[in-house]
Amino acid sequence: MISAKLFICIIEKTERLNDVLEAVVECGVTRASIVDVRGMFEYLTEEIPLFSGFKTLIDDPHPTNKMVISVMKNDEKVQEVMDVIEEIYGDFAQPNTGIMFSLDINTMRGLKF
Amino acid sequence: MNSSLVFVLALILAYTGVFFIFKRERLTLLAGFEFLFIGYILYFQDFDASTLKPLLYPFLCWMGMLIGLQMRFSDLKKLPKSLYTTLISFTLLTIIIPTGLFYLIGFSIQSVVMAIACCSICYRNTAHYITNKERHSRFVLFLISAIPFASIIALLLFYIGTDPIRDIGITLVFIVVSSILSRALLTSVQDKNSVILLLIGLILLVSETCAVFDVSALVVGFFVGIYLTNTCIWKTYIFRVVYHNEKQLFMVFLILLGLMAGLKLELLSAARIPAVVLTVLAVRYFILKFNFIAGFNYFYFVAPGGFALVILTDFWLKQGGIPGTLWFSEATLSIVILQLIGVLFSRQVSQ
Repeated sequence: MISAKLFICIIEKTERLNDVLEAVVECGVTRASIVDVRGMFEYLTEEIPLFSGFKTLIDDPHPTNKMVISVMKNDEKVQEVMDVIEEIYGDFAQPNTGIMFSLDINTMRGLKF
Repeated sequence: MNSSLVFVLALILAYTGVFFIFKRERLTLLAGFEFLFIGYILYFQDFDASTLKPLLYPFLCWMGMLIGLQMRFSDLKKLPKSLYTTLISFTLLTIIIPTGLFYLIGFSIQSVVMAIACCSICYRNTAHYITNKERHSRFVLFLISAIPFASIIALLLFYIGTDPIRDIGITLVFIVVSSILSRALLTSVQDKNSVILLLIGLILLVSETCAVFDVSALVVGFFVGIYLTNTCIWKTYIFRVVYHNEKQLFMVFLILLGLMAGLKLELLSAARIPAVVLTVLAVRYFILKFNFIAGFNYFYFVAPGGFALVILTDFWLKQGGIPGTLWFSEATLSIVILQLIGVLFSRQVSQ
C-alpha cells in the first residue's frame, strides 16, 4: 500500500471557499478539485412550493456546500492542511461549519509526489 | 353550525391534513384539492355560508401579493428573452384557442376567465417529476412558474375590457394608493414583529376595501407585491412572511371556497365538463407538439394546479359570489378532473 491519502473537506460556509483553497496552497498542495454538494438533511427537508416556484428557481440554493478533494503525500501533510484550514476557516467542531477527513489510497496513477 | 366554529375547523383540518397531502415522496391524487370536497360536504350541512364570504378576499389578496413579490425587476432582467417570448406565445395560445371553444360549448363571458384559469400548470406536480437541474429543465420550470404573472395581467386586461371605466379608474386608484400606503407603513417600522402585524393588517384592509368597491383583490394584491419587492427595505422578509405556511393557508382557502361556492350540477349542462376537460387536454397536446415544452412527458403539464381555482374565484366573487353558481361548479370540477388526470398519469409514466 502507498502512503498517499485522499483528503476530503466539505464546507458549509461557501463564501469562505477561497480562504480554504489558499490554506491548501499555503501548505504546498497545488492540486485539488472542487465539487458542489448538498447535505442529506437539506435534501430531505426541501419542499416544492405551490406558488413560489419562480422565486425558488431564481434564488436556487442548490447545491449549497462545497467539497474540496485532493490527494496528499502522507498523513503528516493531511494534518498540516487540516490545521491551517481550521486556523483560517474556523473550528470544525462547531455546528454548521463542515467536515474534513482523509482515507487511505491503495493504488494510484496519474500523480507523482 | 356556527361560522366561527367552521373557520376554526377549517384551520385545524388544513394545518393537520397538509402533512398527509404534500409528502415528499409522492403526491396524493388531487394534490391538495381534497380540501375543496371537505368544503362541499360542509356546504350541504345546515349552515349559512354567506357570513364567511368576506374571508375569501384576504386569501385572494395574499395570493396576488405572493405572486407579485416574486417579480423583482433585477431578477427578471437576468432571464433570457426566449423565456419571455415562449411565455407570451404559450399564454396567448392557451387563452385564445380555449376561449373560442368554451364559448362554443355554451359558456358566455366566463369562457375567457376559464381559459385564463386553464392556462395555469401545477408547478408542484411538474417540479416533483422534473428534478434535474439541466438548462432545458430549468427553462421549463421557469416558464411554468412565470405563468401566474401572465395570467393575472390577462385577467386585468379582461376586466378592463368588460368594464373599462370602472376597472381602469377604480382599480388603478386602488393599486396606487394601496402600494404607496403599504410601502410607507412598512418602511416606517423597525422590527420584524411589527412587519408581520402590519402586513396582516394591510392585507385585511386592502382586500376588504376591494370587496366593498368590487375591485379584484387578486390584481391589487399582485401589484402591491410588485411595488413592495422592488422598493421596500423589508422585501426579503415580507416575502418570507407571505410565503410561510402557503400550503396550509391555501388549504384553508379551498375549504372556505368549497363551503361558500357549493356545488350545483344539472344533467344537461354537466355534459360540458368533459368537453372542457377534453378541450384543455387537446390544447396542451397541441402546444407540446409545437415544441414549447418538448422533451418531457405530456402528462407532467396537464394538472392546472391551485392557481386556476384562484383565478376562477376572483371572477366569481366579482360577479357576486352567489353559492351554487352553475358555471362556477362546472369550471371548478373540470379543473379538479384535470388535476386528477395530470397527477395520476404523471405518477404512472414516471414509474
